[in-house]
Amino acid sequence: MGAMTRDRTERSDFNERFKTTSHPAVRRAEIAVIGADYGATSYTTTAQADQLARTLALGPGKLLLDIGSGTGWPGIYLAATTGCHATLTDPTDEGIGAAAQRILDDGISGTAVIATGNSLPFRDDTFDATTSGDVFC
Amino acid sequence: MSFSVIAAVDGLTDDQLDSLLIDGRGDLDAGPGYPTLLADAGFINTEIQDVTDEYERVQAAWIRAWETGSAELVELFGEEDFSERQARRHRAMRSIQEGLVVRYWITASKP
Repeated sequence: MGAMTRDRTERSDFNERFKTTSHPAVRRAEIAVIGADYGATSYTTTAQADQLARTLALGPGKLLLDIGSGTGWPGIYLAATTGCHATLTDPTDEGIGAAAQRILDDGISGTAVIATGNSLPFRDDTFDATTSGDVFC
Repeated sequence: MSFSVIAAVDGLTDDQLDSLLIDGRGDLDAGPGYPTLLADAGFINTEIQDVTDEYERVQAAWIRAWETGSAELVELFGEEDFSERQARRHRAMRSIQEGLVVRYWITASKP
């Protein structure tokens, strides 16, 4: 399978997966595993996200870029807990739509952008910190 | 920057790489490796933390949590989809336990 075909297939798979992430049973599983309810299917726990905030020295006034954020974990959580501004990027409209809604619902400082990791629509050196969870390979 | 990756262990045999491919994990080859890639991109102070043990624990927790909620989750996803998702998690678990994959947190900075 070529890279472009695989990319489209994976994007479609994730779009389907993100459609179900707000279901209560899915959220209960997520809370039991990672300790948060952002609609994630991640291996990054809340404890690791807290460590990430310290490592990146996040805080008010800092600009964070979360590449491949899906529905917003951990970028939105980091914005909520540190006061930084989180810019979330993901190629799936279902994922980034859910992230945008969560930003509004939680009233945090954040932006959700549909974009792939290899074509980010930002100037160089825009962000103070960048993170990504199990997206690069 | 700080990011996590799930990667194939360096130096796997062709049979082991084929095993990963069969398990749907053929995307784990990181080529020249992250230290080289980051250095080539101008990053310094690269630190790599192996969090594979935590990855195994969390993968096991996902399997347990889905078993716990299986009645509702089967209703939501259907029996076939539910079973396939759990089977995928079990395959990932096996590749961790067989020492084929690792999970790293990688941190680096720009001068």
